[in-house]
Amino acid sequence: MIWLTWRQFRLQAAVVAGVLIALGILLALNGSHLVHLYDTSVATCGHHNDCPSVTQNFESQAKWDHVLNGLVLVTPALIGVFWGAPLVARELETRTNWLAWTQSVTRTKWLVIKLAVVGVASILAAGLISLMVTWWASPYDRLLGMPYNVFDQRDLVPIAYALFAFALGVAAGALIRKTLPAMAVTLVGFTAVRIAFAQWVRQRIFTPVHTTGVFTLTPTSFHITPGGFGSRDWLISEEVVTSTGRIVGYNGGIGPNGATNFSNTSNGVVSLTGIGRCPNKFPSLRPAGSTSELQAAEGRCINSFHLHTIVTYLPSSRYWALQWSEAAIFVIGAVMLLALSIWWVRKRIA
Amino acid sequence: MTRASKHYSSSPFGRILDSHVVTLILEATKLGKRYRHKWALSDCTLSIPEGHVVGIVGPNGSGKSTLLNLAAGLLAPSSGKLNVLGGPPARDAIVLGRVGFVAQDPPVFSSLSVNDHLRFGAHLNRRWDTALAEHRIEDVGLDPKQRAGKLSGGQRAQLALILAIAKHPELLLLDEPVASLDPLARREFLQVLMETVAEGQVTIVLSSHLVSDIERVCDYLIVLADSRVQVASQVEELLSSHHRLIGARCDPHDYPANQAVIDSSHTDRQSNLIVRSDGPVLGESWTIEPVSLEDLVLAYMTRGRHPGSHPRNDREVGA
Repeated sequence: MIWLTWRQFRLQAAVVAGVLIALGILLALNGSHLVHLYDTSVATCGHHNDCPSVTQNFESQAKWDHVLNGLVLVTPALIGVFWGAPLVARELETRTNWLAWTQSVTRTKWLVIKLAVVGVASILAAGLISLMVTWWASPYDRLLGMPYNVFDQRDLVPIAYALFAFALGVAAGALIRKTLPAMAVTLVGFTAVRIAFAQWVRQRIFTPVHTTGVFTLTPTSFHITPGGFGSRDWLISEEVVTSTGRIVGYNGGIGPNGATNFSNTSNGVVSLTGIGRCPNKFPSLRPAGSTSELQAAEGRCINSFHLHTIVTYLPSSRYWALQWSEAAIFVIGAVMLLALSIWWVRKRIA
Repeated sequence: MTRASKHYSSSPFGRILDSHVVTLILEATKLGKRYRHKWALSDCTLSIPEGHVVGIVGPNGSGKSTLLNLAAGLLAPSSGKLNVLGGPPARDAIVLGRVGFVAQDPPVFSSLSVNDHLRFGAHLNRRWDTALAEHRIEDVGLDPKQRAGKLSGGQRAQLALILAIAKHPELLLLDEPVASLDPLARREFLQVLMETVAEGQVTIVLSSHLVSDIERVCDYLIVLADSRVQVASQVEELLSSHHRLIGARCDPHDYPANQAVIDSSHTDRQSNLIVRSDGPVLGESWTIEPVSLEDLVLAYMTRGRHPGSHPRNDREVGA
C-alpha cells in the first residue's frame, strides 16, 4: 500500500522537493549575505553613528521579504488544495478506490497509509519552507523588532496550518467526492478559518496584560505610551477612557479610528465630540490664531478632562507559548478532521 | 397448487443443501439496498453453492450491480443479511484476498502502466501469482509498458480480470464483464475466464443483461428482475424442469394442474405456456417442447416485470 501511495504521489513529491531545494540554495546564499551585512553594519552602527543610512541599505537588500512571507502564508493553502482535496476525491471520482479496496487491503489501511505518507510530506514541505524563511528573515526581523507582526509566517504555526489545510482538504474530498469542488471548499474554508482565528481567537488564548497611562495631547504627540508596554509586544487594543471609565476612543485616539474630533467655534469654545466642551479657552486667538497656538489650546482642553489610555497587550515573552498553543489548536483540528475522514470512508462511502 | 408448492419449496437446490453436499460461498437473506428513497435491491434471498460458474441475468436496473457490489463489500446493505465465505463481505484483509472483483466498465489507474498494475497487485495482495499475471498479459497481447489510460475498453477489462485472477480468488465476482466488449474481445475474455475455471477451484459469479452472452460459460443461473430473485438453479435443472406447452387456446383455470406457469402467450387459436414441473406433465391435450435457456430467462424476466400478476419468487409460488 505504501508502494501504491508513493507511486501515485512521487511526481508531485519530486516537483515540490525540487522547488524546495532550489529555494533552499537561493536562500542559503542570500541569507548568509544578509547575516553578514547585519553583523557588520546594522549591529555596529551605534559606534559609527551611521544607523539611518546602513539601516536603509540593509532594508533595500532584504527586498525578498514580502515575497517570502507571502510564500509561507500560501503554502498551507496550496498543500490543502493540491495534496489534501484530491487525495480521496480523485480516487472516488475515477473509482480507482474500488481497485484498491478489492485487493487484500482494508479501506481503513488504504486511507491511513495515504494520510500518513502525504501528511508527513505536507509537514516536511511546510516545515522546511517555514524554517528556511524564518532563518533567512531573522536579521531583518531583528531589525524591525516586532515579532508578532510576522507571527503566522514564522516558526511553528505554518506547519500546523499545513497539516490542518491537508486534513480539511481530505475531509472535503471524502464528503464531497468531487475533486474540483473539494479544492474550492478547501481554499475558502481554510482561508476563512485562518482569518477568523487571527481576528477573534488568537488574542484570547492568553490573558493579555493591561496598563494605564494619562492621555495627553501636545503639539507633537497625541498620547503618551503607558509604562510597561514595549514595541516588541503585541498591541491588542488601546482604549481611551474618561475619568468615570467611559470609553471614548479606540486605537489611541478619540472616536473609533484614532482621530481627535475637535470643533472650534468662532466664539472660542472648543468642543470634543462625545466628551465635552472647553468654553473660552482661547477667545483671543479666534479666528486668526496660529496653528501651533491652536493645537496648544486644544491640548489644554483635552488635558483638562483627565482622560486615560488603557493599553492591552501580550508581552513578547509570550511569543513561543503562543506559537505552541496556536500550533496545538490547529493540530487538534487537523486530527479531528482526519478522524472524521477515516470514519466517513469506512462507514459512509458505499 | 398444493402439490406444486411442495415441489418448489423443496427445489433441487434446496435438496442439495439439506444433504450438505455443498457449502455456500454466498448467502443473502432478505438483502436490500436503498439509495435515498429508491430500492435498488430488495428482499433478495439467494444461496450460491461453491464450485459453479453462476450467471446473474436480469434487465438493466434490476439490481445485479448492486448485488455484486454488496458481495464485494463496496456497498453496505440497507437491510437483510449477506454472507460471503461464511461472514460479512470484506470483513478483513484475508477475506478480501479470497475474493476477486471486476467492476462494470472496470476502473484503472490511468497514469500507471500495465506493468505498474501488476506490481500494484503484487504489493496489495498476500497471495499473488506473478507468473500467471505476466503469462496472461502476454497471452492477451497487452503491452506491459502501455499506460492504462490509453487502453481500449476490452483491454481494460482484460487487465482488470488478470488483476482479479492472479490473486487466486476462491470467489470471482464479475459485473457485466462483457457488456462493453466487441464480439472478438468478448470471446477472448470468456476464453481467459474458462481457462481460469479449468485451472483451479474458483466460484465465479458474473452478471449480464443478456443470457446469450454468458450462456456458454455458466452452469448455474439466477434471474433477477424487479430487484428480486425470480429463479435460481443449475442450468441443467432449469432446462430439464421447464417445458414449453402448446395447445388450443384456453383460460388460466384450464392450465395443467401440477405445473407452475411462468409465462403465457396466446394467439386466437393457441396458448403457449412456459411451465415448471419436476414430474411428468399432466394433460394430454398439450404438445410438450423443450425450452431454450434464453426463452426461459425471458419468461422469468417478463414475470418479474408484472409484479402481482404472478407469484414473485419460488418461495411464494404456493402461498
